[in-house]
Amino acid sequence: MEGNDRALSRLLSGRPSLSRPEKEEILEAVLADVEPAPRSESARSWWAVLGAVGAAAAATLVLWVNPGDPDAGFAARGGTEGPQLAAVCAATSAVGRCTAGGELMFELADARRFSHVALFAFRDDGTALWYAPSEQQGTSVPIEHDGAMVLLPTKVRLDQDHPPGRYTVAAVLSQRPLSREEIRAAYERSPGQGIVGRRTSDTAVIETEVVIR
Amino acid sequence: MTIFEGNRELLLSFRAGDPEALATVYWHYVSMIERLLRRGFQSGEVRVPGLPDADVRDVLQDTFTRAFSAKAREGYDGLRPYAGYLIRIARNLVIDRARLQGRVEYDAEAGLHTDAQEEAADEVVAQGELQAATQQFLRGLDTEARELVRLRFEQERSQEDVAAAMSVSRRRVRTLEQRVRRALHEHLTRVGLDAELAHEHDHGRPRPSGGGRP
Repeated sequence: MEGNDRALSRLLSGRPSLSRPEKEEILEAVLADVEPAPRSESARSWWAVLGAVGAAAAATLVLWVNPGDPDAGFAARGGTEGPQLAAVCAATSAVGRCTAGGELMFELADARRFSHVALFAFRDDGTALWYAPSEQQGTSVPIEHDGAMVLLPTKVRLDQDHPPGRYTVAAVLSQRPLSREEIRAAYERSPGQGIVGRRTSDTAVIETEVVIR
Repeated sequence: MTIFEGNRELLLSFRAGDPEALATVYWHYVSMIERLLRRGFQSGEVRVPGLPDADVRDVLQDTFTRAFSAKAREGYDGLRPYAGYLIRIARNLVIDRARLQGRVEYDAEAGLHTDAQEEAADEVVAQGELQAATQQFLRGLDTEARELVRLRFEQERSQEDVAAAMSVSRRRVRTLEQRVRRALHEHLTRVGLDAELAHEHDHGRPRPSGGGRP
């Protein structure tokens, strides 16, 4: 929290003691100093890691490609229109940052026109980490829409394949299940920085950044 | 009863350093330790005064950082009451800090030092003004914002719990939380209490986490 936020939080709580947000901040600092849990077989079941695709870590939100509406154009990088992705640390509820050994969850907003999602991330060294679909699943997973915001069932344990650093988490949204090859193709077709945008099949690519400490 | 009693899975996860397990333990004990730090305690025949507000955050963080270290976790057998273990760490930190600050000798009959009492009185007045202004602000909030304040700040629920209780997204909760704080700040500024708020802020200076990352 910045500035006077701590004092304001205490006033809102009506008590002179630490507010909930302050306690969360302390917990985050404590967890940052704790050695991560060792890798375990149970952690493996939560995510699957494949080989590299290779891409430098990028920053923040990416374009949303809207092929269904020829006049739609594109949401600018960092804009608030269209689907949005947030990575949330399970232990602290912090957005966009978490500690090694922790668990990441993913929230999707304003994505009702899409029925399926694929999730993956890129480390600073370019290594790609598949989150969904797993090899067993094979195709992008269905989105269970329940309101404008969806908490995806995919959770990621930040174990030894997630050393501290900056990660770009990408989601490929689609209106049908996509294979991994189709997912890769959709991602590689999406505009990068210096957005121009173009029409593709009914997919959208969105990204967010996560810092792991 | 320790939090680990009858919950071997939590104990194993805690000893392994699982962040969710650590968070569970933290939330179970954090308020108790904070009260101890603020109220002080009796050490033999000596009364150790509570910490000033500015030190509470630091010592609270230090207490749990020590308790959650790998050595401490692995050394905990799950049989001894965990609260007692945390309290011992907190008390030692308070005593160490008091010694460093020169408050070495405590007169059990004299109680708090006079300077601390004078400062406390000024702070009480300022705090009262801020609280009154805050109550005025809260009365003007819409239903949704008022519910957020009740759940998030008064009941100290997590953002996830608040989102579920209010049937909104967590993003909405975060947005509301920021808006309410900003609006309160603006209100306090309008009524001329921004200086008092800044004084409260100065007493809650943040302290970054230490090194020790792998």
